[in-house]
Amino acid sequence: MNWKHTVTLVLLSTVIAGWSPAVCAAPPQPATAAEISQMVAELGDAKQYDGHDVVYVLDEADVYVQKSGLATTESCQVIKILSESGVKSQSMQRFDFDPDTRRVTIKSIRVHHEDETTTDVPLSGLVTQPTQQHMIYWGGKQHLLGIPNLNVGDAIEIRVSKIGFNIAYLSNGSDIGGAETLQPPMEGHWYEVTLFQSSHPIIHKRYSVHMPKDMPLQYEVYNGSLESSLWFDGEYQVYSFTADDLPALEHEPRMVAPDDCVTKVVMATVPTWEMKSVWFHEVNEPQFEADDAIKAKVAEITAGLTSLEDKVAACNHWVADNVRYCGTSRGPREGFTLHRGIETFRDRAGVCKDKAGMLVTMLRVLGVEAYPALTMAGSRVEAIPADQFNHTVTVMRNEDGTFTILDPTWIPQSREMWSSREDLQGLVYGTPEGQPLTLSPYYAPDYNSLECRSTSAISESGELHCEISMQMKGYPCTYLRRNIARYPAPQVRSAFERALNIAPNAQLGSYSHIDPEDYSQDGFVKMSVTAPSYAAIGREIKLIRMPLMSHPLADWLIPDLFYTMKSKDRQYGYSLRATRGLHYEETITLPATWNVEKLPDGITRESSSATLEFAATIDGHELTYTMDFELKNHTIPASDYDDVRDILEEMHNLTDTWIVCTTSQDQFASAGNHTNMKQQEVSND
Amino acid sequence: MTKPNTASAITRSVCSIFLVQILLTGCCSAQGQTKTANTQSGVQLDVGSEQYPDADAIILRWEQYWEIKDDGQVVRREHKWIKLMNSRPIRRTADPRLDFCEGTDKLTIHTARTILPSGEVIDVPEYSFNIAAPDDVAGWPDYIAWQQTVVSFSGIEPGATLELDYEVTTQRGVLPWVSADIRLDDDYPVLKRIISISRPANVKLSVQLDNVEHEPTPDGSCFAFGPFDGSPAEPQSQPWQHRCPRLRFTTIPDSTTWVGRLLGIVSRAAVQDEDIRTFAVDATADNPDVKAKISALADKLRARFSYLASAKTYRSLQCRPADEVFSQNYGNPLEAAALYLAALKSLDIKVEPALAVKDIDVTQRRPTRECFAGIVLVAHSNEGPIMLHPQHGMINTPDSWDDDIALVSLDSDGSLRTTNLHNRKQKGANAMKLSGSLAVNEDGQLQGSLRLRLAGGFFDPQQLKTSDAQESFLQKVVCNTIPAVENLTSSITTMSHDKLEATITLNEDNAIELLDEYYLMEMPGIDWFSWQFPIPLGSSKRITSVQLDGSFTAEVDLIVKIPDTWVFHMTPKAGIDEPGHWGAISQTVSTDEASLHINRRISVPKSILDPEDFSQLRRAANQLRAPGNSIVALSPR
Repeated sequence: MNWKHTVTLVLLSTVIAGWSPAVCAAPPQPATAAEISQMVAELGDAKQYDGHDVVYVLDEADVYVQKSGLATTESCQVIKILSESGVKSQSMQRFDFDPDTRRVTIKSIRVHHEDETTTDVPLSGLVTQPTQQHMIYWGGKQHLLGIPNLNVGDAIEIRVSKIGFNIAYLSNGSDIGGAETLQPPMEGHWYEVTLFQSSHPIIHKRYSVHMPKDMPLQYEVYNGSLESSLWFDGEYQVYSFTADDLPALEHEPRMVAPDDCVTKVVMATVPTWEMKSVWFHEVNEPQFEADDAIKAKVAEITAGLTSLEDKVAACNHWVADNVRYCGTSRGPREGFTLHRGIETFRDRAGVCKDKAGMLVTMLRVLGVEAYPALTMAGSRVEAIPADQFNHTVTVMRNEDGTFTILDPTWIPQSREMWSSREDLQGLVYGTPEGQPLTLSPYYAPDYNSLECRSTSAISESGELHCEISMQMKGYPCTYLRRNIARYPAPQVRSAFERALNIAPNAQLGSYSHIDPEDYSQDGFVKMSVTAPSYAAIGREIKLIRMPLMSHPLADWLIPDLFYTMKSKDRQYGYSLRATRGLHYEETITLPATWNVEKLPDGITRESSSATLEFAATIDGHELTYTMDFELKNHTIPASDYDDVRDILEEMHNLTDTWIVCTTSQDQFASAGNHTNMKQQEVSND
Repeated sequence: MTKPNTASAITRSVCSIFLVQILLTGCCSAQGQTKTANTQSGVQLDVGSEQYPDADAIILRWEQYWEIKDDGQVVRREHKWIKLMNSRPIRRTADPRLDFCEGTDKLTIHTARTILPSGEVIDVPEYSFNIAAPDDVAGWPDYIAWQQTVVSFSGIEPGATLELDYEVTTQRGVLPWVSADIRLDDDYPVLKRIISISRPANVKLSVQLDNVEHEPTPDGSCFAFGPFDGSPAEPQSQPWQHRCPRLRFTTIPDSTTWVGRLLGIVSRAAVQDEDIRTFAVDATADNPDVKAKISALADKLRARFSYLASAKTYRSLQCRPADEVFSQNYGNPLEAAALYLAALKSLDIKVEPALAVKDIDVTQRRPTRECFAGIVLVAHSNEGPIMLHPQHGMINTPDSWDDDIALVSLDSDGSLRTTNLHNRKQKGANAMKLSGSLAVNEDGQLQGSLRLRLAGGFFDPQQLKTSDAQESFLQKVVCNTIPAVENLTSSITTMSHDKLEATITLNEDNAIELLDEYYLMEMPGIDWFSWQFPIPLGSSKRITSVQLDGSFTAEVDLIVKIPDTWVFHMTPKAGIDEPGHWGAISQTVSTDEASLHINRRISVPKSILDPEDFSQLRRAANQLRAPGNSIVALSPR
């Protein structure tokens, strides 16, 4: 930090101290117009934020919660523009909202100019339009207000009032006029999750919640610390959380979700997860009635199956593959309310909750005790029972009282019942008796395995011939199926050729693979591959590589193991798609006149998150090697990042490793003097 | 928007069939080429995998009608039946989006239903018609009238047929002209294709057909085609406009009128304004000459201004005055051009707008609105004309455009003035040659100097304005060609618009790769040129022609010397010489005790390769791509 930065921070601290709770004998109050003007003036040209387009001088919100759980948020943001790109991003203010659950009112927008004059933006220019919508058509809207004549150095003060809920329902379907029509999903309860860092620097952030004093609020701060206070204020208790000088969140490639690394406060009035579980059960229980068409479909797809496990799997796959992801709204209770199974069956469309509901409906036809469940794909669910969910799945109670989770949204063209990408993920089952927060299972590396075996031969002319057999489970199996299914039948061969990866000039001969929709067995590929001039032929030496170590079909099966991992001083966890277990085994038969000069060195590497074993042997003219790689964590902690990167690099280095062979007779094998091995292109058998 | 429902839908359905009949009676059916479209009688629902075993979907019938009414309203109607053979086409077909402009357009959906393989019909339910903002104009107040109805079909399963029949009626005076550029076939087979354009007798219509044979109807405005095979694109296929059956029609009377109208609108909107002048003066204060001023102004405006390219934004040739556009800080291509024009004029730079047109033959025929590629400002300086595009910045050639572009403006006598701007790589003089002599010293380090000559599309001077950019570029060229090189110093000795020459000196501290006692140097397969002129060599079979970025020649000519006490153990394959209709690939290698001379050359003198040419090129290129054909191994004796 240079001295200018230090001076500015001291000045800002002085300004903030003038109205911060630390020195006032009252709950923190919103900044006054004079205080905001002073803060903007003191910030000056904000040189210390060079490289950023904007800096948030102030970001504060006061939330007034009513006993019904309805809440009004009065917010003020002051944004200083530092670049022309900042002008571009701030010239149009956009406020998205879901009209079924929120009202948003722009109260004022004022521009503070560098010469300390101000301009109030007329609100008469405000317009409202539908938002862009893709796959989910729930009627989202957007207020738009242009801010004319903005310039670098201006600061925009935006005051907004919002009333509603993160997820809430209208008391009746058609009236979306006033706040009185908004009703919370859980009567008398309120929750919120607030992050204290964003993609822009923030000089001062405050978040205050004014709760009726007879509504207890539980909260916890995660991923860091915040200054907090609780004040009595008449009929309210005021919970406040503040932080100063928050740097912009520095994005790292494939980092964990901001919710898992940014300081945040999680708040809820709901006492327990069990209560949430019962509520979720009760609001959705009427939706699972089956009609004759559904019963007939269940009978059709389970015909001939004897075990309950197979019947459940058949229903799960049917919903996954036949109900497309497409969300339409039923209005008042969209959000947490699953569509009726009968509707979803007719529409053959729905979002995750509707697909989960369709599966519940079908499983109940089978006599299975099934329920919907809430989960959060991609980040943690903290212990405070605030809604932290973005996904709905299905759960069935087994005879022994345990539960099995099923996800028809994430398993189209997958043999899995629950996606292995969703391991150790928070879940709340919606059951009649109520369930606590629980976690999805951990999937060990061998659950997501890829086994490759090749019997290879190299001719005197250097031509390679490989017979490759690949078996896969879990995640690699799913992605094989999806990649094959992407292409129309006439294009599948070309797609395999592009993904082949053995050598740039490799030719695919006969090949076969799993039918993407055959869920009776794990994934497999068998391929016959040739590559002329694979070996480099010299007078006394020949050079070969290890064909399988080029990772055939890697772009399809394990693309995340090839992501660039360069960043130093990693701060945040690194998210890969799943745990992984690779086992490669190849025997290369060399010409009788060739001798391996030196085998590649063996490798044994182990870290907390990954292991690598490589060993090669020679038996006569047969070179055999094995490679085993395990990725033990789906998300690599930052502390393990360097080790995993090094281990992956070591594995990738094997791709380019040359092996020197010498000949037992002094012959000059002209590279142009090829003796072609069997080299033909055969159609897919 | 009007949606189909119960009794009124039936009425509309009858009306729609009637309208189709009226249209067809006047042309297609009079010739006996088609029957009235009707799911009961006119469309064969039972066509399937027996006839089209590889098709994911089959478009059973596809009708499009344009009607210019006597009162000036314009009706565009589309009626389509698409049969799904498996789940693969669902994402593309199940939720169509119908765009319209509330207030000036009226969307009427006559039919939206799924016909199941059993014959059962499932209408799209009310809740599955949803309004969204179109992606290309969402979030901008001037365009909030633009909306789209998303129609989500129900009951989809393999074998089901989706039928959608809708029309958009546009008010009189909204469309200055009516035109369209229509692809007649599809990625899926199309069994029957109908296009009809009807208009009052006093409206003159021009129609052009490409890549398809068709007997014109007596009045030249109704067409029936089909069947067409499915024609999906492959990697680096030509754009559909070049490879697919195509119909263009227009009521634009001539290019002169079109160009004059558009440029006149821009010029009139380029009003002088003090705020614009102040901004322009501030942005260019440190730049003395005209070119530097224009560059500085363009950089600053591009950084702050939101350019909206969508054709929706200028459908009615809307163009706000420049001062308003500057204040609001967003605008369509006409408005952006007016703002730039006003800013440049405020600096007393002599400048005029020109229309960028995708069809370089546009002056020879009547244009369609799809020809529009933007407005370019042409400024005059002592160094010649300087071209500025509000979205792409200063341009010499339109690299950021996909195709060749013509700049069209009007002379003072009202005649058209055209300048063709060929894409940099499409000009044809693309060449690369890297030559020189390298030496491996006793420590295995690579030393020496190289000469690089590039021409045409192998480089872009616009991207090489700074010494850092030049250094990084040359590093990439050399390391792509000789992977053993890691450290070098380079100097550009000549750089013009079309030619670049540079000298490169290797400063390797590290030895080249050492494997046991052998030092290895690798020549890359085709990386040395394909990063600039990619070829889709991954697949062995092609159905469509391959479009390269341009024709080119690339050559590497190297002498590698080794110490007297060293010996070559392995050299790349000599005697590759593969000529063909597509060009030629060759590699010659000669060695003596102290040196190796390698020459690699690829020449592809045409940018469109038919599948057979491509197949031969791939076979030849694979010889260079073979891992064993690229290695030099050497060691001390």
